[in-house]
Amino acid sequence: MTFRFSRHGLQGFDKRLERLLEILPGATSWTILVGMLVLSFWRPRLAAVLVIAFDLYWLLRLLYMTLFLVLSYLKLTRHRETDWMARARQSERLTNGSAPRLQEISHVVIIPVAKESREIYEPGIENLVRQHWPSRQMLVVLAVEERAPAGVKEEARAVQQRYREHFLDFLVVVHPDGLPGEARVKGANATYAAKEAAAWLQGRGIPFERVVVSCFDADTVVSPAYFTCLTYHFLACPTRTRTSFQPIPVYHNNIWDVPGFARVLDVGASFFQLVEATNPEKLVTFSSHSMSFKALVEVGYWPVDMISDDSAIFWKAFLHYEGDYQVVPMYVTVSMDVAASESWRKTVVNVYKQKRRWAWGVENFPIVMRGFFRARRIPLLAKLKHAFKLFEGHIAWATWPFLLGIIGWIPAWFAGQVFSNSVVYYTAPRIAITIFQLSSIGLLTTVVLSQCLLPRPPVGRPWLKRVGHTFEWCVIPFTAIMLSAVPALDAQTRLMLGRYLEFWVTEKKR
Amino acid sequence: MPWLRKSIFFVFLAVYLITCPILILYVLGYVMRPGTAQGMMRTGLISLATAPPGASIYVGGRRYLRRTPAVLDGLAPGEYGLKVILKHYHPWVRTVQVEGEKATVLEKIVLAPTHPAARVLVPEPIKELTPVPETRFVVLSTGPKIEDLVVYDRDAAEPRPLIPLDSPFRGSRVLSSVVVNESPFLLLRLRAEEGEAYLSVSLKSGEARQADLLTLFPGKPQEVTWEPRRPYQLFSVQDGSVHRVDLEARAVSPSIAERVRGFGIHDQRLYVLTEDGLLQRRDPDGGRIDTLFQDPLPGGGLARASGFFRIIVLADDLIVVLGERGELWVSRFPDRWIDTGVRGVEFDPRGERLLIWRKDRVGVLDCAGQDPNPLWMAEGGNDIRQAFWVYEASHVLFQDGPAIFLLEREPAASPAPTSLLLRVRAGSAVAYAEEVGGLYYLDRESQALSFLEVIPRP
Repeated sequence: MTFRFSRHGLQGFDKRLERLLEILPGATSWTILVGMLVLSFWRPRLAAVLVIAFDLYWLLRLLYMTLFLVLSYLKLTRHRETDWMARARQSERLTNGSAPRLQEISHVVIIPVAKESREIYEPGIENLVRQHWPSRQMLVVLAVEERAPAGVKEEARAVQQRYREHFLDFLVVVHPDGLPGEARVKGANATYAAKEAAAWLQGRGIPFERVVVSCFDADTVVSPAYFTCLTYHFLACPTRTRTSFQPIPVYHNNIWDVPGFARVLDVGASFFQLVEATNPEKLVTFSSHSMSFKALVEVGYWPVDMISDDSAIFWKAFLHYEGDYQVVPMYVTVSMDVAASESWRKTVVNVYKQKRRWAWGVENFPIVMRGFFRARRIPLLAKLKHAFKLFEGHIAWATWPFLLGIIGWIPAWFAGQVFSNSVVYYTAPRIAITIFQLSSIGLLTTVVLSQCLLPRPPVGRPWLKRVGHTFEWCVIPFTAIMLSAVPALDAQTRLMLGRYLEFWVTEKKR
Repeated sequence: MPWLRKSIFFVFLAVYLITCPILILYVLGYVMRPGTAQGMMRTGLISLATAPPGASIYVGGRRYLRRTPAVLDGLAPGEYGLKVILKHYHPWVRTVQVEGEKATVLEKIVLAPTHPAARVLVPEPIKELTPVPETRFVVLSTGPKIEDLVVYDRDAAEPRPLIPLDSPFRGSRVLSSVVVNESPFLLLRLRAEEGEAYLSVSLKSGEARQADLLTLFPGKPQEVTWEPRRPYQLFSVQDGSVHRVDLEARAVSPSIAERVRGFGIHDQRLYVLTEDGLLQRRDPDGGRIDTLFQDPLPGGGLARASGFFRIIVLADDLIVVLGERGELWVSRFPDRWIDTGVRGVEFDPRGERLLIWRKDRVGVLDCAGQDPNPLWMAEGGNDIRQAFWVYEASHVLFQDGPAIFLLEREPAASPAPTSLLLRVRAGSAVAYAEEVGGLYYLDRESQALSFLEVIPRP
C-alpha cells in the first residue's frame, strides 16, 4: 500500500483527521484523570466503585504480566547457553537452499551519532569485533550529523581507521543538516546512512534480501551472540524479508553509577520488553533492533520527520505490506546507558526528558490510524487489536500511576459526611489495600528477577549497599508518577495541543 | 508461548468477570445470602473505635472475634444491642440502628475507668486555678500576693514561681488577672505600695513588663485584651473608647475608637460595636472603617440591650457577639440569637459548631446548618461555669458547680447518660487540655493540683 507515513504535507480531510486523532490520546487521558477527580468529589460512591473495578483489573494484569515475565526471563536464561552459530548452521541445512547460505548473509550496522563522544560508541564497535559472527561479514556505518562538533567528526574518522580492517567495511557518513522534508531527528540520520549503505551494497552486487540491517543507539553494546542469534532467526523465519527482529534492551552499561530511581525505572523498562516478547503477535520494535534490509528499502527507510523512529519503522512496514509484517522476539540482550548526568538533579531532568521522548511514540497513533482507515487488506480484527493496544498502552502509561497512587484514594481522603457514613467508605479502602497487598507478589518477583538480571556490582562495593539496591524498588510509586506518568501525559498533551516535540539527544555519562 | 498466553488470558478474563461484580456488590454492602428472595441481601456496618483500644465487642449478646478498633460489616438492617467491655473500665452499652448500605460510625467511644486514677501534680494546697486556654500553662494561686502565684508548665511537669525572687513587684497584692486564648501571658492588676499597677508577665520566662495603663485609665477598664502573637500591644476599652498601649515602645495611642459598646480583635483588625449599633472592622490604629452589619441584634435589639459586648471573631465570615447579660448573636444566616443567659462559647472549627452554656444547660449551635436554634444536650444544671469540646469535639466536658460531667455529642441511638467524672474544689476553675486528653483541677479535699485522664490512652 502506498501510504505517506508522516503528519506533514497533509491536505483536507486527511489533515483534519490527523489533527483529531492527535487530540484523542491526550484528551482521553485528561478526561480519565479529571473525570475521576471530579467524580471523587461529586459522586464519591461511584468513584470508589470504579476504583475497585480498576484496581482488580490492574492486579490481575500485574499477576498476568508477572507470570509471563518469569517465563520470559527463564527463556532468556536458557537461551544464554544456546550455541546460535550451530543452530544457524543447522537451520541453513534444513532450509535446503530456500534461504541464503550463511556466508552469503551480510549485516549492516548503523550507529547514528549526534554529538556523542568516542567513549560512548567505541565500546559498542569493539564489541562488534568480538562477535561470534564473523565481523568480516559486517558493514559498519557510523552516521554522523553534519551539525556535530568538528571533534566528533574527527573522532569518527579515527575510529573508522582503527576498526576498518576488522569489518567488510567501515563507513563514516556525514548527514547534511537541513535536507528538505527532514526534521532534526535520529531517523533522518539513520535513513541517510542506510541509503549510503544501499549504494555501497549495490556497488558490490550484494542483494538486499541477504542483508540484515541493525540500527543501534550510539551507546548500544550487543551481546557477543547477538549477530549469530539474529542470523539464526533470519534464516529460520520463512517471511524473513517482512520481519523485524527485536532483542531485549537492558541498561547495564552504567547501571551501577546512576541513582537508584533511574536504575529501577530502566530495569522496569527491560522487564516490560521481556513481557512484550512473549506476545509476538502484537510486538512492536523498540529502541535498538534489526530488520531485513530489503524491507527497509521497500518501505522507504525510517521516517525522517518523526522522533520515535524505532516503533515508527514497524508501523510503516506493517502498513506498507498491509499487515503482512511482523516482529520476532530474540532472547538476547542489547545493553545501553541509563540516562544519567553528573548530578542527581540533572539526572532527574535527563530521565524525565528521555521518558517523554519514549512516550512521544504516541505520535504514531494518528498516523497508524489513518493508515488503518485506508488499508483494506489488513483484517479488521488485526486492526482493532493493534489500535487498541497502541491506544490503551499510551493511556495506561499516562493515567494508571495517577489512578493507583493518588486519585484512587481521593474519595476516602476527602469524603463528605454522606459518603463517610456509607458502607463503601469503609469497605473500598480495605479492598484496595488487600489488592495492593496481593500486588506485592508481582513486586517481589520483579525485585528478585532484577537482582538476577543485573550484572555483578563493581568489586569492592559493600554488601550492605548491594542489599540496599533491593530497597530501591520502594521508590516505584513515586517514580512511576513523576518520571513515567507525568512525562507520558506531557507528551500526549503536547501532541493534543499541537506543540510538537523536538528531538533531544539523551545525555550519556560514563 | 502465544497459545499459553491466550489460554491464560482467558482464564484471567474469566476470573475478572466473575470476581469484579461480586467485589463491587460487597463494597456496596450486598452479600450473598442463600434462602433470601434474590439470594442477595443489603447490609450495613458498624465502625467502632474506643479510647483506650482493645475492648471486647458484643453484638446482640454474641462476642465478636475482633477487638476495637473494628468494623462490623455484613450486618442486616435493624437494631443491634452493642456492648463494649474492657477490664477496669465501665462497659459501654448502646442500642444501635443499622441501615442497608450505611455505616453507623462510633469511632469516638470514651470508656470511663471504674476507678478514675487522678495524679497529683502539685501537692501543696492551692486556692485558685486560672486556666490559660490553648497553652501548656495553668496559673495557680496560693495566696493574695504576686509571689503566691505559681505557673504549672505541662511540658516541664513542674511548678515554678510566676515572678523571680528578686522581682521589685514582690509584696504586691493581686487585684485581678486577664488571660487571652493561645497567649502565654498574664496581665495582672496589682496594688503595690506606690499605688495600683498593671503587669504583663510571660508565663514561659517569667519576664515581667509594667504596663503604664494607670496614667491613662485610673479606673478599671471594661476590657483589656491583646492578640496572642502580639502580647505587648494591649487594647483597653474604657468609657466607650478604645486605647492602644505598646509596652515595648512605651507608647500610647489614646481613643483610637470612640462610642464603642463592644470590642474584639482578630488578625490585626479591631472589631467594634458602636453605640449606633454598627458592627465595624478597623485597622489597628483605628483608621479605615468597614461596616459589617447594621445593628446585628434582631429588631434593633442593640438599642434595648445594655452593658458591654465581647466580639469573638472565629473566621472572616463568622463573628460572635456576646453580651454581659448573656445575649448571643452569630453572624450567619439564618440569625442565631439567644437573648439572655449565655455564659460562654467554645468553637469547633471542623464542624463549625459553637458549644454554648448557660447557668442550667449546655448545648450546641450549628453554625453551618439551617437550624438557628441551639440543641440543648444537658439541662437541669445548677451553676454551669465552664464547658469544653473534648476528643475532637465528639464529647463535651462541663463543670456544674463542683461537679465535672462528660457527655457524648451525638449519642448513637438511645440518649447517652451524662456521666459524672469527679468533683473538684468548690468555686475553682478547671483546665482541659485536648493535647493530653486530660483535666487539670484542684482536688476537692486536699486542694492539690491534680490531673485526670479523660480520654484514656493505650
